[in-house]
Amino acid sequence: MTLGFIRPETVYEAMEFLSEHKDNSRIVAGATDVMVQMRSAKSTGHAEEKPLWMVDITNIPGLSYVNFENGIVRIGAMTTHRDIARSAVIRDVVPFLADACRSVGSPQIRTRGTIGGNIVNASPAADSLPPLTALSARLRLISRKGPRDVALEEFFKGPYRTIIEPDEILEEVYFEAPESSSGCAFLKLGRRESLAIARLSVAVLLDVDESGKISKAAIAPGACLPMPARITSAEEALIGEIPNEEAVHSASLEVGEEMVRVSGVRWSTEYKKPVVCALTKRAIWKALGVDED
Amino acid sequence: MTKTKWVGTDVTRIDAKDKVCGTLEYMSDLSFPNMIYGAVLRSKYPHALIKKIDTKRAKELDGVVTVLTHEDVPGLNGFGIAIPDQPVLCRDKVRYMGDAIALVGAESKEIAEQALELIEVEYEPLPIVDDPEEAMLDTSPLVHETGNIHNHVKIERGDVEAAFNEAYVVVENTYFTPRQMHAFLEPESGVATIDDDKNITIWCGGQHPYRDQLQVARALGMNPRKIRIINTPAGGAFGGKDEITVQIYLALLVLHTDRPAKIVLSREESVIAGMKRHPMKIYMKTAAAADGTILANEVRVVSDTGAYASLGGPVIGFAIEHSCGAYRVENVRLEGFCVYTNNGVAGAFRGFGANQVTFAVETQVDMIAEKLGMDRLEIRKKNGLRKGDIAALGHKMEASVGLLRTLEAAENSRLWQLREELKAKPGAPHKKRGIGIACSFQGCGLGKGLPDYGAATIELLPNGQFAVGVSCPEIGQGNTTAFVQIAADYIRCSIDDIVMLSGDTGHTLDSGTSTASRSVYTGGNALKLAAGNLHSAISTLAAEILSVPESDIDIEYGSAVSKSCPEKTVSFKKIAELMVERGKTIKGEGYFIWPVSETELEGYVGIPHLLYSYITQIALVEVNTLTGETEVLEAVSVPDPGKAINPQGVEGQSEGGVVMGMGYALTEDTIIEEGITLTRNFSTYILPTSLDMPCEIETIIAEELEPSGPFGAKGIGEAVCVPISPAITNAIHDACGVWMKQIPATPERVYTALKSKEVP
Repeated sequence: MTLGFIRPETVYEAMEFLSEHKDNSRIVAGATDVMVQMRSAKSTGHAEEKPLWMVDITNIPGLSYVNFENGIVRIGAMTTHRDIARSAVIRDVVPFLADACRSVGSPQIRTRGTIGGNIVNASPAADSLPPLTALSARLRLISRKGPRDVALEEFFKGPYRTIIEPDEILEEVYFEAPESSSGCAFLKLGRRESLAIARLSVAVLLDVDESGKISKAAIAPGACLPMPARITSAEEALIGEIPNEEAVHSASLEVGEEMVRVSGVRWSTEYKKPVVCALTKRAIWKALGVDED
Repeated sequence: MTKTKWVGTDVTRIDAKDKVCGTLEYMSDLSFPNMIYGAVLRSKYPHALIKKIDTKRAKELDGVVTVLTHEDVPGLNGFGIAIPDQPVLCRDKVRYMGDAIALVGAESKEIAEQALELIEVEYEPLPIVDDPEEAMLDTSPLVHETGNIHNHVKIERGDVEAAFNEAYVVVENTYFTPRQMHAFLEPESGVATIDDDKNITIWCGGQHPYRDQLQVARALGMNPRKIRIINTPAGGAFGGKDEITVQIYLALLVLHTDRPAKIVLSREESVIAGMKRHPMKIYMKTAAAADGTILANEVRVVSDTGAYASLGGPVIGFAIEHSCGAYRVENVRLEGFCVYTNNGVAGAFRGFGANQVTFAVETQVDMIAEKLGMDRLEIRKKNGLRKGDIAALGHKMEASVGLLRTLEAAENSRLWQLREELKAKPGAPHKKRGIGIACSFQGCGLGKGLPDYGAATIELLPNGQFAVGVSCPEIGQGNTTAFVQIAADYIRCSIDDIVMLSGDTGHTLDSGTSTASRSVYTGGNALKLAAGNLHSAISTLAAEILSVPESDIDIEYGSAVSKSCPEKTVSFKKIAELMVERGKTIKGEGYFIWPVSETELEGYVGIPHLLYSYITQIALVEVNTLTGETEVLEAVSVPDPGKAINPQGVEGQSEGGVVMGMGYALTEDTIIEEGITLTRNFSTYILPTSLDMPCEIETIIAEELEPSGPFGAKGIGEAVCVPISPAITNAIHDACGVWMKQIPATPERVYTALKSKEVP
C-alpha cells in the first residue's frame, strides 16, 4: 500500500484536496484511531491495496475552540480531548462532557485526539458521544458545495459508519447549554483505570423543577448500542417523578431492555445487561447530586 | 560473614542516570552506515503445508537488497533451547501464525515491508489443533510428527489413596490460567555487522549471549568464535528473550549482503510471533487432617506450549516440582503434560511454571483453612517447609529455608495486623473489601541434571580501576549494579573504581543465563573466586614493591598492606602503575559450578532444585459487587532473597513483581482463537497502568542467609510475581465469598461467580 500525507493550511485547501481525491482520502484528525486501524489491518493482512492520501487537518488554524454565546456552546472539531476536559466553560456548563473527555485513553491520546475525530470515527464506544447525544448536539459539515447542519443522532448509520460525504469536513459540534438547575453525570466501565476503551458507559442529563419533580431527562448509554441514541422509555420513567429508588430502578431497567432489543443477545449480555442497569442507576443518582463513589 | 562496605546498601543503579535521562542506547537505537532493514514474512495460517515460495517479484522491487528463504540457511535450519524444532525459515510446513517463511533486507523499513507483500506463498491449510487436551488424543491432527505430547512428567510418593481415605477434609478443583505476555517495553530487535573476515557482531537484547552465539553458529554452520553477541542492555525480557528472537535473521542478512542490518519487530509482530506464559489446566485434589496437616496432593497439569518446544519441557517439570506449594506433603501423585498445539509459542516467563500451580495450590490451602475454621496464616505456618524437611518430590531441603521468616514478617505487617479494620470501611455500600495471603518457593538455578555454571573476570586496569566481567545480561533487574557491589567488596575497592562489562561474548566469559533467579548467585560466586585469584596476583607484585614476603600481604580497601609492618602499604593505583611499567597484567578469573540436590529423579532433568527463594505476599482488595471489578488497594510483599545485595533493588523487583502478578490475576490474557491472535496490541491486551497499581506496596525483606551464596545471597527475580496472584484471588473470596478458579478474575468472571452464589 502506498501512502501519501498532506497537511493543508486552510479549510479551503483541505476542501479542495478532498473534492479532488474523494475516492482515496482519509482525514487525519489526531490519528489516535486511524493509525491503530491501519496497523491492525496490516497485521491481519487486510491492508488496502490502493494508494491512500492521509489528509491531516489538525494544523488548520481556527478549528480548535470552545465558544459559549447566546446559550449555545460551540466546539471546534479539532479541539483536543485535553482542551475540552480543561475548558472552564465545559467544566462549568456541561461537566459530564469534561468527564467523558478526561476518560479518553491516556494523556498522550487526549493531547492528540480530537472531538471531531471521535465523532466521525463513530466507534460505539466513543467516550464523547453519550454526553453529546444527551445534549442533542448538532454538527456542522462543510465542503466545497457549502455547509450543512445535521443532528448528531441522524449522523450515524451504524458502527464506524456515518452519513459524512468523502469530500466533507466536520467543522464544529454545538448544543444548547442546559439549564443551570440541571444535573449531569457520565460513568464509564473500562477494563482498567486508564487507557481503557469503554466496555459500557452512560451519560445522564436531568432537570428538576421547583416542585422537586424531574422535568427533563436525557439518558444516552455508550458501548452497548450500535450507534449513539437516547433511551426515551428510560427518560419517560423519570419525568414527572420526585426522585425515588423505584423510578430510578425502572429507568435503569429500560436501558438494559433497550440494549438487548437493539443489540440482541450476545455472550456478553448476561454480564452487560445487569451492569448497564447498575451503571445507569448510579449515573442518575449522581446527576441528582447523590454520588456513591 | 565478611564485613562489607557496599553489599547491603542502596547503591544507585549504574544505569539509572542514562535510563532516567533517556540517553541509554538500546539495541534498536543503534545504527550503522550503509545499513539495511530486515523484515520477516510470517505465516498466513496457523497450520498449513507450504507448496511453493516465490520471491521473484519481491526481489525485483526497487530498494530490495536480498530476499532469503530456507534455501539460504547454511547450517541447521532450526533453533530451540531444549531441542531445535523451530525452523529459522520454514520449508514445507507452518505450525503457527508467527512461523517465519522469508526474510527481506532492503534500503528502508518501508521497502522491506512492501516487499513482504510481493512474496507469493502457496499453502495447503491443515486442520488445526487449539485445545491441548484434544491434542493429546490419537485422533488429533499432529503438530509435529513425533506426536503432540512433548513432555510427560509423573511422580508418585507415599500412598495417596490411603491418605484421601483417612483425611478429615478433601478439596478437589480444576483451575485455568491465562496466556500472559511478557510485554517488555522494547520488542524483539537488534542490529548486526560483518567485517572483511566474515566476523559477525550482533547487538540484540537477550538473556544468554553464549547460547545465542551457539544457536546462531549452528544455523550458519560457522565457528562460534566468529560470532560476537552483545545482549546488554535489554529493554525488558522476563524470560521472553531467553530463546532466539531475531539474532539468526540478523546474522543471515549480514552474511548474505555484507552490509550492516537492523530488525525491529512491531508490537503486533512481537505479540504474534513471540513467547508467552504457558496456559495450564490444573486438576488438584488435596487432603488434610483435622488439625490442618496437609496429607496428600493429587495433581494433573496440561500445559499448552504452542507450536514449538522451546522450554516447555522444563516448564512442566518445574510446575510439577512446585505444585504442592512450599509445604511438606508426604503422599503425592503428580502428573504433567506439555502439549503441542497451533496456539502461538510458549516458553520461559518469570516464575517458569510456578505461577500457574501456585495459584491452584494456594487456593486449595485457603479452602481447607475455611473448611476447618483455621486461620489462613496458621495453616501455612503449620505445613510450611523448614530446613531439613522433605519436600513433595522427596528431596531434602538442604539449603537455607526462609519461608517461616517471611510468614512471620507478613503476620506482623501493618496490613495483616489491621486487616479487620481496613476491611470494615469499603469505599461505597456496593463495594466489599477482603484480604488475601499466599506464599510460595521458587527454585533457583537450572536444577538437577542440567549443567549450571558461570565464570567471571576481574582485571586491574592501568589507571587503577578494575574491569569486572560477568556475561549474564542486564535485562532491567539490576544485576549489573549488584555485581558492582559484590565485586567491590570482594576486591576491596570503591564501586567508583569498577568498570562493569556485561552480556558480551567479546569481553566476558560465559556466566550462563539471566534466568532462573540465578544470575546474582552465579555471578557473585564466580566473582568471589575471581577476586581470590586477583588478590594472589596483586599480592605477588605488592610483596615485591614492599619488600616483604607474599604471605605477609593483606588486602585492605584500596591497597595492599604488610601484616607485620602496617605502615608499609601500596595503593591499587600504584600497583597498577608498576604493573604497566613492568609489562605485566594482573587478572583473576573465577569458575563457579552450582551445587545440586542429592536427590536424582530418574528420567528427569531440571528437577529438583537445591536452592529456593521464599516469599509471602498479602493483598487488600475492593470488589465492586455491581460490576465485578476488583481493585487492589494495598499489597505487602515479603521476599527472602538470602542477603539483599541492594535492598532498594529488591524493593524494585518486589514492586514490579506485585504489579505483574496482579495483571496475571485480574486482566492479562493473550486471546488466541483457532490459532489466530486477537489481542495484538496494548489496547486489547490489558496490562495494568500506573493508575491500576495499588496505592501502596510495602516490601519487607526477610533475609535468610544462604551459606553457599555470595555474602549469603540467593535469587529473587521471579518469586516476587508469584504468590501475589492467589493472594489477590483469595482476597476476592475474603471480600465476597467466591472462589476464583480461573484467572484472570475479570469483572465478568467475578460478577458471574457472585450471581451463581446468590442462587442456592
